[in-house]
Amino acid sequence: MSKPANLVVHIHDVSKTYHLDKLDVPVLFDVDIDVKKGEFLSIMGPSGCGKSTLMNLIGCLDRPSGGEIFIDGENVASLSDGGQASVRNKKIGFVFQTFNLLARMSAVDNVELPLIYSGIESQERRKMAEKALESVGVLHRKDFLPNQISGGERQRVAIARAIVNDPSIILADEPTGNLDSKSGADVMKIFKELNNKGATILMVTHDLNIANYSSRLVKLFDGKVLEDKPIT
Amino acid sequence: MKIFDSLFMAVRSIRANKTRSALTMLGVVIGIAAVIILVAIGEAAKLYVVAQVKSWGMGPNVMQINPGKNAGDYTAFLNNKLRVKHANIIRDKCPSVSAVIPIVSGAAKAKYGKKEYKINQTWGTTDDYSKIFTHKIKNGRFFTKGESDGSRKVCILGGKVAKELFGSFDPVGERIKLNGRKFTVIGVFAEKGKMLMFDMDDVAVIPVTTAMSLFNTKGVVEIDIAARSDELVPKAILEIKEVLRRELEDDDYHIETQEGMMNMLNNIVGLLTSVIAGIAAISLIVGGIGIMNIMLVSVTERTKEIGIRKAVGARKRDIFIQFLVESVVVSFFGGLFGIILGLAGTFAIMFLIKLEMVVVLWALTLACSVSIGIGVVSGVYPAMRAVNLDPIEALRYE
Repeated sequence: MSKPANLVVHIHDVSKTYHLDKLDVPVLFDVDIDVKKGEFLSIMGPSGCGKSTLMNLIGCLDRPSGGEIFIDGENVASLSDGGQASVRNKKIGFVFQTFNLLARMSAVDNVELPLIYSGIESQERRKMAEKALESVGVLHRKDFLPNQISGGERQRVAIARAIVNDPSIILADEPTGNLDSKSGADVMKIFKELNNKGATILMVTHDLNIANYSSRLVKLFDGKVLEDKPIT
Repeated sequence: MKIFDSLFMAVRSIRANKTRSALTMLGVVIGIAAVIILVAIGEAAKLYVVAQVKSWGMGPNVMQINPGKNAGDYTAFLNNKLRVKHANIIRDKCPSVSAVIPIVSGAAKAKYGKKEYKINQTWGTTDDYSKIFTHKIKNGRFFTKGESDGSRKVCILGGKVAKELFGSFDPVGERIKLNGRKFTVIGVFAEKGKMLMFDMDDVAVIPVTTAMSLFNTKGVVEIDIAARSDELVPKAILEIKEVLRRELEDDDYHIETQEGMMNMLNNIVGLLTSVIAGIAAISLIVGGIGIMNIMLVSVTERTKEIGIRKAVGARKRDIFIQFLVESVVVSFFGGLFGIILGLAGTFAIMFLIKLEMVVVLWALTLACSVSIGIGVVSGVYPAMRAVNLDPIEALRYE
């Protein structure tokens, strides 16, 4: 199988079936999506269409039942658990709907978390984390706990955590789903800026207004790619 | 992930739940403290035993022959074949031996005027008694060889016996009755106190031949022998066995050395210490179960955290180490506080019972390693649970 080098993500013929007790639930069928470097891509679709499953597969949190997923030319589906953890650590930056910050840790400690697992020294970690916080405009909140700052700020801290290790791709799962429209717009502006600076972003959303910040839209329906078109 | 980062993470997580962590530690604290205190008391008791045996005046050159095949064979006293002549044979024929005394023992009722007192033990022996035992005379004198050989009715009383019969009045020269026979008190022993529960002041000593007729016995309960030097003890034992072979069967008697007696006493005390410390160690198991329980709760509570950590790149190994280190740190600090509490407790108890404080280094080292061990054992299962959480499920956990 060819592994085009300029592709950050190359999804080929991927299918996923969940095996429940006595029931097989097919979720994705023969999905093919390529993401080029520097692209900002939105995936839309109704609940249960398989968008989250697709995110988990790209994010190496799960393995496909069939097909291949390449990230930076590496077939991640065949990696060991440790290898997948390393991909999550170095090549993927997750941004979740519910932020998923550790409540007991300050903003800067949360941002440092991926760097701890990269084995980076603590002084270097602190520098990198502060730089990431600065780039999303929340450096002044670095010593605050997540529950001491606003939802929009929390999501920015989460974005800082996602970009701190300079990943190949940012995976954002409904990043504005828990935010009011103004904070949501702010967060999207940050994504847009990151994309302008060259970051590759793959975002799942069901809000067309949010999807419009991106440059390409993939519509999923019943586990299949229904439509794949650029946004103008 | 670096080990320092894991330690830092663990300490942070423990500090986040101060009360819970403290209560979890308490099980280990109590267990370790109890073991340390009990071991220290045991060791102090051993030293006490040694000091007591030494104060009795038996140097390392002293041996003892008792009837029976081995110590504790009390039925041997019923069929006692040891006689005074055996003591004499040893004295005369063993070149490595410097002094020998036979001991005949019995219970005597003493009477002075209208006062009566039942003496705990009355010993019949020879004038060589003081060559083997340090039992100082306060007033008067010990009996002579002539008095000993001549079955004279003379006695030396222990301090307590003298006090019971005579009060503060000096009994030397007075006549008392022992089991109805008249004796002259020729001396009083200086007070010596209790030795291993036996009251050394509640005794009377009379010539051995006198004792044999007073108690109507020929059996000697004990022959005490001093070798010419400590080094000659093994040689003396061989000589004694050789000369007694013509007189007695091997099963009729046994020879104990001071070293052997101390070893036996130490073994008994050591065994008791181990048993008690072992019982205390059960609380360590309970403490370990407490840690495991809390760690399991902690893993469940922090399911989401585990999911997040996995999402940002924590490997299974990292998660495993995180929870294991946490468990070990709790247990180790429990052990450390346990040691502090144990030493303080030991100090207090030793102060109260007026024994010398012994710091048992091996017990401290053991306590440290055991507490770390408990942490590892209690942490493995919860840590495995954390490792095996599905990251997707964990991230969804609320």
